[in-house]
Amino acid sequence: MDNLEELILACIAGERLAQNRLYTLFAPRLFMVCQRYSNSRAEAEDILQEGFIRIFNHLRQFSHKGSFEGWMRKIIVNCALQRYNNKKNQIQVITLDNEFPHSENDKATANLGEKELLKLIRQLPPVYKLVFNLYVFEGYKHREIAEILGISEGTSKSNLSDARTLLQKEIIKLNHIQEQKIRC
Amino acid sequence: MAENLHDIDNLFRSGLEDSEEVPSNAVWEGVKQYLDKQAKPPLPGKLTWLKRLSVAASLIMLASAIYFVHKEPGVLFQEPVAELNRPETVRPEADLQKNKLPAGRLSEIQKSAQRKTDKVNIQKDQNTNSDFKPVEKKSLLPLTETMLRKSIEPGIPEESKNNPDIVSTSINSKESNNSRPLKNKSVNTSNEQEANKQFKDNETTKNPETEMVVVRDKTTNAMPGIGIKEFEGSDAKKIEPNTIENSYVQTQILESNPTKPEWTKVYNQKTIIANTTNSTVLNNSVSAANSLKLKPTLIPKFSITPVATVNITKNNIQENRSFGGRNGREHKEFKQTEQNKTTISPGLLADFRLSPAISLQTGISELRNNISISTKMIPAIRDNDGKVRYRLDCSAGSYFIDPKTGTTPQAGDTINISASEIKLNYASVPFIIKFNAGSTKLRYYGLAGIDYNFLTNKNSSTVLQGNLDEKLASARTEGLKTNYFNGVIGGGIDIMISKKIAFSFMPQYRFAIKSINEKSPVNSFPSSISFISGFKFTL
Repeated sequence: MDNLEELILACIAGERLAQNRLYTLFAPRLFMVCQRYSNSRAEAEDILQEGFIRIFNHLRQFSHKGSFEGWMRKIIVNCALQRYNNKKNQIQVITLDNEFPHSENDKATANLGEKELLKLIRQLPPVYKLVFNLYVFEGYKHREIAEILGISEGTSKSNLSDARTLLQKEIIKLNHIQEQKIRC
Repeated sequence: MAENLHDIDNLFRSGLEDSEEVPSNAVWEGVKQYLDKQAKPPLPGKLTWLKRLSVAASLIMLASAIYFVHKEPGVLFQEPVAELNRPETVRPEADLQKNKLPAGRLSEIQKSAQRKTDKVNIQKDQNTNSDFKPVEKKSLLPLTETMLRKSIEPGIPEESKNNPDIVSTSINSKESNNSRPLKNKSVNTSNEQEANKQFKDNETTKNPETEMVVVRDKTTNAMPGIGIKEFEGSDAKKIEPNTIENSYVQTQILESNPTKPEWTKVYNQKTIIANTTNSTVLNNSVSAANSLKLKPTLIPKFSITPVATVNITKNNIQENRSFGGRNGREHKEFKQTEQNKTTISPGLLADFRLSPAISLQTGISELRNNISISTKMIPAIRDNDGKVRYRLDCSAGSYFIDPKTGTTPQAGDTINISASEIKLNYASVPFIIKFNAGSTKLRYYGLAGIDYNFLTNKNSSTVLQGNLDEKLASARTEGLKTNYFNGVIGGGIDIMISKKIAFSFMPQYRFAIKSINEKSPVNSFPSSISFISGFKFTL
């Protein structure tokens, strides 16, 4: 922790090497957070870049009391949420009847590794994706999610439930494909 | 079913929680590029109110100190000096009592007189001050006579010049229990006889000795431009021994010409405190007269200066907590995306002399605040007219934009702008007090005051991303005040080029006392370092 504190202080002092070191340490993990909130790798990289700029700009505000990674993660999530707010008007309303758009490549990967799970999340409608991420990974309550996204608590619950149902359906489908492959 | 659903949560959590993936190098390059840009040396740290006040207070104190240092010779010309320049005399206690001069006051006066004597000696020895040339004895004698002749009220016949009554006709008596001189009190001819009688009846001056005459400025009761004159030679004839005690002569004196430090013209009525009773001592005062030095008036009564001002402006943006907004995100965003441009603007300033060393500066000048905004995304919002327009928020209010091409925006739409420039023009009226010092050739001064700025013009020019040829002007503006006050502190120098023209240079620090915007998520306080220069014409 001492090393981390020194690293943070060096970053505050504007030492480029220290900033690079901090980035190298935390970027891979935070990049995965960005991936979950984005539709593509490029978008995730945009969020990560914006997030790190904010992190370096506000490093002085870190109180050294809680988890540094948690603090950074919160900034990254806020960046993703801001991006969502800016794109709000472009979001299409998707009902449960909507099907995931599958590619041939999807069918080929039946074992649910990181990439597959990530793909499943990405394919969720934007609001569902946000609610699911905030609830499952960030640990927010429905009341908090409702506040953040400007929706009602009920909608948040309903969106989460819909997101789970969609994911479950898709997992079942993927498993079925995998089983068929094995039989063949 | 519900259990299965919760299993999904765990499936994803365990599958992705600790996963990592290295992003492309482009991300770090982007971050680095931004950090490099930020690393440019910023302007001096944001001045808080406390800092501003300390700077203002320090400058005012400095200006005051300069003023009082230059005022110092005048201290010697204070009213009691005439009383004090009686080196050989110790006045009896009873006499003091009669004249109501408190003992403490006497001691103070004696110290002051000592300081004066020291100063005079130094001036005699060194005679180094080129600005205040001593008047030569030759020219002083006739001038002193002239001065005394002028002490007669205008219209007194020429033949009465050498009449001993002349002085007494212009004497105004001092009441015996009044320790202060009757400053600026004009003599009524009808009362003169009575006044003389009062003085003659006064038997307290058994040992007349004092010869000093102190001249003071009638209008300011101060001393610059006025010197000490002493009676001598023929003057003594005019003042009968044992007849005048602590009397005050209402007279006209001569003032030095600022460009030619000699007594050359009759100025206006002044008060002379005369305490003269002994012609013998008066005759001894010739040597002291040699030390007479004249301090010319520094600043003209009125002058105008056409100026050009270079303004280096910086908007200090603070979060407006009472407004709400996006939890303070706006002010951070504005700080990141906005930049002020250096501007040049014209003006016309006028200086009025308030006292020999203090002047008031006013006039009118243009104050420009140009804000350049970099790439950002702006939302479409319904304005107060009910029309949906793209709104560009910045530290100088909100500017609504209607794109000329494309579809009509709907509430919630966003658009990227590639650049925008906001131009605010204010007419600025300064009210500044200047504390002048220096010489007739080079004046320098400290200044402090306020500017009243009222908005005369505002416009924005925005370029949308992907449509670089189209510059859009704002269709509507909100959140900008029409006027605000600046505090001003600074200094300056005037270099005389000729008798009537001087080159003037004034660096100033201006800071908004109140925010320039209202009903906005941020409060913006422009502050600028201004370099004002121009030619000052004395009228």
